[in-house]
Amino acid sequence: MKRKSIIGMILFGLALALGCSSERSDSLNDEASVGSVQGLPENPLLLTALTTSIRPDNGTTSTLYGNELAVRHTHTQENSYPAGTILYNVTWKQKADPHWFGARVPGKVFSVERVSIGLSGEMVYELYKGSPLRLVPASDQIQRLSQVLSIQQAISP
Amino acid sequence: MKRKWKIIICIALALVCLQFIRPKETTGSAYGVGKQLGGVSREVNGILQTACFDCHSSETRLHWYDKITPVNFLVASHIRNGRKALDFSNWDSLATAQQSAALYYALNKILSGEMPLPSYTAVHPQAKVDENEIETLKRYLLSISYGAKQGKVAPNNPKEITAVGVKPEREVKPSPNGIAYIPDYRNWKAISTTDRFDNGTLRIIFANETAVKALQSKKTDPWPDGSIFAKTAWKQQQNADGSISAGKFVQVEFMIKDARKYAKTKGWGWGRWKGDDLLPYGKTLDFDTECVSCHQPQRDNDYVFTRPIDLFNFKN
Ligand code: HEC
Ligand code: HEC
Repeated sequence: MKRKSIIGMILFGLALALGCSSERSDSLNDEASVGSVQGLPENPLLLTALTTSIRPDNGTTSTLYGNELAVRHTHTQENSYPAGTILYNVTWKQKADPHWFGARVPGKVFSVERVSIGLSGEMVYELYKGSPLRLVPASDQIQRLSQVLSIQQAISP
Repeated sequence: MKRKWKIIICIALALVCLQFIRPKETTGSAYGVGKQLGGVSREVNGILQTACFDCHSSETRLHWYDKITPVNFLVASHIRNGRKALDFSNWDSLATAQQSAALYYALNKILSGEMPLPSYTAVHPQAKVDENEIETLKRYLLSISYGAKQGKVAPNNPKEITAVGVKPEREVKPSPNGIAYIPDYRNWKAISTTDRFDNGTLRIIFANETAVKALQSKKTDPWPDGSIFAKTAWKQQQNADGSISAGKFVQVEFMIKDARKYAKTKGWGWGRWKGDDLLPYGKTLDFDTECVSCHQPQRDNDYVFTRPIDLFNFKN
């Protein structure tokens, strides 16, 4: 009996040690991934990043993503996105960069906003929030819709 | 017996004679007057002076044992290389932004444990930077960071924006180390973003297909040959509602993995292009040692700072 429990403890310790050392724990920023979201039609992070922004007042950072149609579109102030556009504005809580004092990087996902423009031009705004993320009603839909549509793409030569 | 004494006396004489051969770096006056770095608080100045000035300024305060030949030749090489990398004696000739960048770089080298050189603190324990001093440096740097003195950014309101997916044909000169510019990185996947409050920029880090595949199969240690990262920096631009967005383009930098071809620079090819004209950065063939030096603390992570967001952790 006694001997069994000692062997058990040794095995347990061994398993712990192996389990902890077999993975390079900090090679990914797993915390910032989107995870499971019921009903979200596409993986927003696999679309093309159009720009990034921060809000110092609530310590968040957002990246705007777009599908092929949105990306190819020359987005002038007068002009608007074409039918078929899908945009995602993904917002994270910021966290200190553990490897560079002087930077902040994305922490936990705070919200995912999806804007789509249907083939006949109808626009839909959806807000996903919480943990895990799920579709929630947004009180300021119309305002957010136009705000997401008006975000300017980051220009690079 | 007699013979033995002769040898000992000869060696002693030789050592005494050797003392006349000294590298110029170690012959300066002992304990020079403390120089105050312009614009830096007294406390911070004191910390840097004790821990760093011996090797990073012309104000070297050496102990008697540092001046004994041959010890002094080792010390001199530290001083020579140290000053080449960072010389606080040139402080006043630096622009404010450069001074701030130098201080952030300095603190990060302390945090990574690379500076002051461990071989030096072993002999000069008073040069070690303790937790309290690190806190002091952090507090000071936060007080001079971009976020702390906002409101200076010029608004940038371009009428017409070229779509991200459309690339105008243009000639871009290669980097001095021969690396060619890669124009289509804006169509790659974004693996992270950074808010660099140390220099007031926002950045997107893009990864090419090879790197994204490695990420998907979690085979990033090391990153496979053919992996490329592009990091784009934009000036932080303040908006009316208090949010900050990506303003004027600053630069794009690449790291191209090829363990054999780029063996000399830790398996990566390094290149940076600046401004709307995409001028290649660097004056000499080996300008990229600067990149490697700063990425050095990430050697256990294949010299990559960014921890990619796990793009594939998604279920619907
Ligand atoms: C004993 C000498 C010595 C001391 C003390 C010392 N350094 Fe260094 N430092 C060096 C040398 C030598 C280099 C050149 C790179 C190398 O060989 O690692 C260097 C390089 C650097 C670099 C630039 C890295 C590069 O190559 O671009 C920074 C930043 C730096 N040191 C910061 C500090 C700070 C901050 C302190 C004080 C806390 C400090 N050093 C104290 C010797 C020293
Ligand atoms: C003073 C320090 C410093 C120097 C010098 C430096 N880098 Fe970096 N680099 C960083 C940091 C910190 C990051 C992490 C992302 C961020 O915070 O912007 C980074 C990230 C990168 C990335 C994205 C992949 C990664 O490692 O995270 C590339 C590409 C890159 N640097 C290229 C270069 C090139 C090319 C040079 C030289 C021309 C260079 N860097 C010089 C600090 C430096």
